[in-house]
Amino acid sequence: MEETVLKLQGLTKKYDNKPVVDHISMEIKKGEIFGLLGPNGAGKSTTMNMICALTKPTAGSVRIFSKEMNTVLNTRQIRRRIGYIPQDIAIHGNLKAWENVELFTSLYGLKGKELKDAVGEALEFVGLSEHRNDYAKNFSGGMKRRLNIACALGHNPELLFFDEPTVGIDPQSRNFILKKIKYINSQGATVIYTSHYMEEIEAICTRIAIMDNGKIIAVGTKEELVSLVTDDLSANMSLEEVFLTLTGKKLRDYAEGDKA
Amino acid sequence: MPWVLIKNNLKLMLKNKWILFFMTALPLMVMALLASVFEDMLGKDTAIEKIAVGYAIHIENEEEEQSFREAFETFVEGCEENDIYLQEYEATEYKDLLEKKATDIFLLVTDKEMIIYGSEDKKIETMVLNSALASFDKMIHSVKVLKEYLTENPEKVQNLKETQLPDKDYIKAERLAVNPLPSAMDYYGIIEVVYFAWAGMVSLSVVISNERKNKIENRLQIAPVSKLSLYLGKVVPCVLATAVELGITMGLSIMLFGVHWGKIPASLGILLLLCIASGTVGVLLFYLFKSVVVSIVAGYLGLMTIGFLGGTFNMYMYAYPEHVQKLSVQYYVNRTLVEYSTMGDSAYASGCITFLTVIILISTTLGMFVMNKRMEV
Repeated sequence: MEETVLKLQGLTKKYDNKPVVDHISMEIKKGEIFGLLGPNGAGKSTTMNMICALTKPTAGSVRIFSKEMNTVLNTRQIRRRIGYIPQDIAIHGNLKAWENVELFTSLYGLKGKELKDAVGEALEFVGLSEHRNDYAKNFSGGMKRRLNIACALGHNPELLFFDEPTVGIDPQSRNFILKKIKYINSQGATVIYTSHYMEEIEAICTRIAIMDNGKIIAVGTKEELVSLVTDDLSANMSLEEVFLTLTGKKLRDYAEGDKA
Repeated sequence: MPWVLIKNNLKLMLKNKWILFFMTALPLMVMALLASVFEDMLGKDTAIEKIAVGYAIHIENEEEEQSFREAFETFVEGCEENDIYLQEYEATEYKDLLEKKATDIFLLVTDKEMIIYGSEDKKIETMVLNSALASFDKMIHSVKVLKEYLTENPEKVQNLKETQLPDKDYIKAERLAVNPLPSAMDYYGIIEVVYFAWAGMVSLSVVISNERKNKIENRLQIAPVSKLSLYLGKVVPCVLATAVELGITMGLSIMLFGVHWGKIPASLGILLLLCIASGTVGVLLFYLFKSVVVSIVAGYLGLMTIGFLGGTFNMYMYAYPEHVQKLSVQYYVNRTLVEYSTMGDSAYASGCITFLTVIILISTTLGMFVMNKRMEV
């Protein structure tokens, strides 16, 4: 039986007494690429923030590697093993590529030669070795996204959170990133992936959760999700169709927090 | 200690050309400007090297005038030995001479009185001459009394001739190094470095605004580092950047303007404490307010307040009572550094160190608390 890497139980977040994330419970096994799908305002980012301990849950628990982040020691131990790739490109434009990777990797306790080697490997992994001495502000959008990823990989995390990592980049860069995520996963890392792009989720995720109104409305492989909306498995329904069937076609104009 | 975080944040701070200019070139410009603008005002209170006195004697009785002139000649010689130079002019010339500053003050001697003419800024010279003339006048009067006595008692004259005159070095003047005033350049050279040490917190804005704009704070929050490390990762580079920039400014102020810093190791120690205080207060302000601009404005207003309360050295430039002035850390810092420059030591040093240490401790505690709260989503 695969080890449970992440377990959420009754996870809730309320703003002004209104739930943005409403009693979410789920488990993610080691080695999965788990997709989190949902319309705007569904609660995906808030869920990610609670899992990463960026924000405190109103209720419920988060267990990563069978530990809760309820003590300083636990929190640090867990954080050493996770990597977070934010939706925003969180890098210093006035630092060079290698300086960015060095800065963020050093926060995970790497020093000296180990740090230097890790920086080199991370940049090579994302295809930026040749640009290691260039300032990040001069990078294209795709390069910045790749650097954004490199900054989270240097310390070889076992659990990775990708929050919409391909927003605003060209198809080649997107394709490159998706391949790399699959490769990381093949090396043993567990990945939690959020995106609006259905084809990405479909392409790489082993299991998908669909969120709406702060709740998980469906969880499973693509085939299992299709079976929720149709008995005709040969219909070859796309994930987008499944998603729209389950969440509705009404426009979602609010962001999380606004809805609350 | 998060060395890589400190190193990279320091790089970000020192790479910003505008902040480098603000912290190095601008203080020099302000120093030169203020020193030249306020040179005369400060010069009023600096040591007077010599006094030039024009004089005219207008006594109607010729015999009396002659007698006075003989005695006055001795007075003139005595004054010269004490850097007071008297030169005779026509009485009608005094206004012209004073307007053209050909002489500092003018003495008019008539039958009934001696009048010293001088402008408002020559009060000290007037007082000095007044004091000297008072002694001279007493001497003249004593001689008159003695003359009358000897006329009535001629047998006493012989005794008088045998009396030895006192050594002319009997009365001496010594200059004491008590509260010597600095030159305008030294004064503004020192206090501008102090003011810009506080302004060093602006270096933090480069790092903090970038972290907020690019959501780097989230990345830092997720990393397995202590809050203390994140705090030091901001304060230490700010202190180092400010110290480097001020070091450059100090060096240039000495080379270009000859600013005299006294008791160098102690002065540098005080300035380093100041840089640390600036860094810790800076972090507190940047996390107290959401907006970087508001934080900078708040810092600026705070700096102006402590500057006006107690930062100025010359008494006549402000009207706050001393117990109010002492509420300002600038009161102690400026006085300590200026006195190190003029006297080589300062009684304000211990108060200065204590005040800065308290500021550092309080702002560190509050700063860490506020930073922690602010970084939570």
